[in-house]
Amino acid sequence: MDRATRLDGVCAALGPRTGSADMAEERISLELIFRRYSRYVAAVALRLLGRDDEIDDVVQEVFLQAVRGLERLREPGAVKGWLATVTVRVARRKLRMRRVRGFFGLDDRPAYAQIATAETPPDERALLARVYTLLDGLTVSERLAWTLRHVEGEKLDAVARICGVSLATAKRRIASAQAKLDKALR
Amino acid sequence: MSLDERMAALRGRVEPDWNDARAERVFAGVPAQLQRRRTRRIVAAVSLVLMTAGVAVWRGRAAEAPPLVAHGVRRPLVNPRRVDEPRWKRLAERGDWGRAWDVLRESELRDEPGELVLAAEVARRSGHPQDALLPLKLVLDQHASDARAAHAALLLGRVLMEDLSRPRDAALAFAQVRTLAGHAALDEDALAHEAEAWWRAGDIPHATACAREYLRLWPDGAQLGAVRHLNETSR
Repeated sequence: MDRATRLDGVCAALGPRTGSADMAEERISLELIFRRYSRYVAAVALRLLGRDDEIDDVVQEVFLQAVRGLERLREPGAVKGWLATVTVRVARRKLRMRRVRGFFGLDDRPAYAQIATAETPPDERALLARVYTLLDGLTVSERLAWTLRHVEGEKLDAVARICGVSLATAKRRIASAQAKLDKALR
Repeated sequence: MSLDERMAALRGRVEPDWNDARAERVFAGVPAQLQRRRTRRIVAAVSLVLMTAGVAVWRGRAAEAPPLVAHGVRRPLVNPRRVDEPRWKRLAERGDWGRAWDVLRESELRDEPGELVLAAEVARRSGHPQDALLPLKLVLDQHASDARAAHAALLLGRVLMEDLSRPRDAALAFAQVRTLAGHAALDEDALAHEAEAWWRAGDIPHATACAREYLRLWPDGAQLGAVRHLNETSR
């Protein structure tokens, strides 16, 4: 399959940006969607997982999984949200696998000190590393919900939608994670 | 400052080192992976079809095998009913009367009331009413005490009256219903049909007698209108 791989049904995805009805009716290539959203997916994946070395796999997996869902999407603005949902799903699996590997002593301790951008001051870098280390001690569901809310900065209803749970459940998970982190950081 | 406030202040500090070269490298694997997954899905679908076909063949052979229970052998089967069930019965249950009849003609019919009645139904609905008579008469002769005998008599009456235009024979078959096992639920229909059959046969006294009997037994019966009309016409 060449790089001009095209998808049916996502013609409306880029419509609002181009503002052209003709463009909106055209088939949009997977590559175009990848170019537009891969950075976003990579950023969400990094914030959820805390490791840069897993990002390439996650981004590739997200777009592989998203292809079929994208074909069914009809709302132009839904692509980003859908990709976030798939990213959370893939990250959840990665985190669970990480936990299993850790149980058998096969997982290296991650270097969370590298997670922050180069221009981050040392104290903030240390705080981020400490938070991500503590996140490893939470359940996967709590970690995902809390990270989406406080690191990614999503609103509560968006957290619930992306995680595929009710608003009450999302709130409960975030609160539970918050309580554990507060206690550990006190 | 609480943790969530501190995290809000740190927002934007966790960004991937994502550039065009890296994106290019990651994307390069996507189409090939997609192709591999599609191929895997096709292989899985073909495997499923082949497995299903294998199971169907196995079941077909099992159906042809002699009944194990008759030889005192019991073997657990996935779905014994389905394996034992002749193909024409399955077709009939699906309402495919034409094909059921084609298969039935090549099959050996067991002397079992339910199977005989169903075979008659297949013959009738596939346009072979004459061939429906024998299995029904077999039920009435050989299995009069079976709960399905009354149903066989009612069906026989309908075949004779509606399909073969033999109302007198039909009337006798309808009359027989009340003498057979399992008749209670069918009595009302049978008597109404009997009245109609006698009327069609031109035997007005019998038709009137049946109609009056019906009106006496079921003054609010489902066939009341037709029977009352018959009774009035017969006068």
